Amino acid sequence: MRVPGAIGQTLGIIGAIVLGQAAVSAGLVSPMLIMITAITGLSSFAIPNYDAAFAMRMMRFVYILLGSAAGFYGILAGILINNALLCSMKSFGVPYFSPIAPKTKSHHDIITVSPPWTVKTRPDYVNPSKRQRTASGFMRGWKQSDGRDGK
Amino acid sequence: MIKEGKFGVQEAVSLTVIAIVSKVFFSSPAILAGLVGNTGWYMTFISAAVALIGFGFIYLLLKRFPGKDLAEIFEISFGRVGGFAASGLLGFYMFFTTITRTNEMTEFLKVYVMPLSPNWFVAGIFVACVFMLCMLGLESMARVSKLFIYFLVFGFAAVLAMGVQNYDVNNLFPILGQGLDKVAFHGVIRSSIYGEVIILAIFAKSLHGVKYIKKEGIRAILISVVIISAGLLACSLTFPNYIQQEITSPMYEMATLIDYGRFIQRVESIFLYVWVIGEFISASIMFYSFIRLFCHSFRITDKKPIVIGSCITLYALALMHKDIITIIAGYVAVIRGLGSLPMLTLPLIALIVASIRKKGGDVQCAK
Repeated sequence: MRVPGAIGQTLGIIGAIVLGQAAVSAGLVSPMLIMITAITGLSSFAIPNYDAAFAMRMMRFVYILLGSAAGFYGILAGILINNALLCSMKSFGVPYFSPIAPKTKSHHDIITVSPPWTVKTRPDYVNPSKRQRTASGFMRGWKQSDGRDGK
Repeated sequence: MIKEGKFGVQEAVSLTVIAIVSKVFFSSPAILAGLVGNTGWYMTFISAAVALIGFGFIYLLLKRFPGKDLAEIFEISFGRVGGFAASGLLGFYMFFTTITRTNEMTEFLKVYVMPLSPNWFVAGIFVACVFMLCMLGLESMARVSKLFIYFLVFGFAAVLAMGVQNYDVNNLFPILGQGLDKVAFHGVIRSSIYGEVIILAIFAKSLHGVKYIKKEGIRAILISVVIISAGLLACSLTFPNYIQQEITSPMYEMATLIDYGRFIQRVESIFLYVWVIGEFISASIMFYSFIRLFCHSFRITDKKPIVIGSCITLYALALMHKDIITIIAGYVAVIRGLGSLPMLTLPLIALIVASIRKKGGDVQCAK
């Protein structure tokens, strides 16, 4: 639509609200469908990586087809196959879902990240040539300032 | 070629636990209520104890033949023909179990979720998932089970926790059910419920040695017994015994009863998620075990054509059952009653024969 950029956003919002309301009132779609479409649209902006967002958009159509064909059962089948494919994928020899699946030794940074001075070994899933991060095996801790350098 | 690969302790435990536990979502609680009253939740500890003993023999057998898997051990112990027969029996059992699980899943989905969908459609999606998982291989199957087990356990625990509003302690009485003799008898017979632990021996080469297999087997049985017992206890607390016997899937019914007001009610979709995903993985690993045993018996190296052919056979056989009663009272009853023979007794026989024929262990090493 050829409109000035400043009013494009307003037009989109008004169009969505008016059209959505009219579609529900006319009985063409259910209110739940409007809510799900809106939540899906907003959630798609939460994916930080553009390529991942694009892949998710493509996958969405597959899930819509599965959902329309077999309902929640179809979606579950899709989730399982999708995750199984992701689990079998490797990028430069590193499993896509590591360190969760497979769970590897000497790496616990899954939800929280350990303080750097406690991480003495390199993650196992990258197949490092040297497991130890330092030759001595000890990491430098926080250095306490003695106050002479004026800090 | 389908890559089997290697996987660690957590993946192996996840895979085995899912294979064992998924049975409790179907008719098992109702059948148990008829057999032993409200005592299923502690009867299962007897079954687990028997299964642990059975797994002890499997461990001793694997220890006697380090670096070999179960099919190879059968061949060494029983000879070429005997090994072929033993692997064939176990493989047939695995295939029969997969067919039964597909039947059960299809019928239960038709009863509760998709009453208007035809059987071929529901079974088709199920077999397609089994096919995909088998084509991706054992390693991917183990990883996906490790990935999903957190969600499955969380979903299962959520359903049990939310069901508290319907629990009634009086439903547990009489606490000895129909008598301790029946509890002990059925506890021993139904040890086959934990028999899936044998998959650790079938895929021993994909694991990191006998020491780890022992750890994995024991952990898998102990985690499974806690989950199964908790599920059966929740069912017994929710329904009086005479009602529980009549329900097709007591755990699903339990989930439908949850009601905490307008916004938290009818949470069976959480249960359905646990149910379906668990069953997909469980049936896939059983089917893949059959493929593994079949290919070993006939010296076939490429599993892909066998997976395709077997999936078509599985789909055809999954559509041949008469009705849901035939499955529950027929197929499932046979599996629970006789399942411990191929899964727990056969390795014991192999161990005895290997000892008599002086195969494996120190005897062979000394030679």
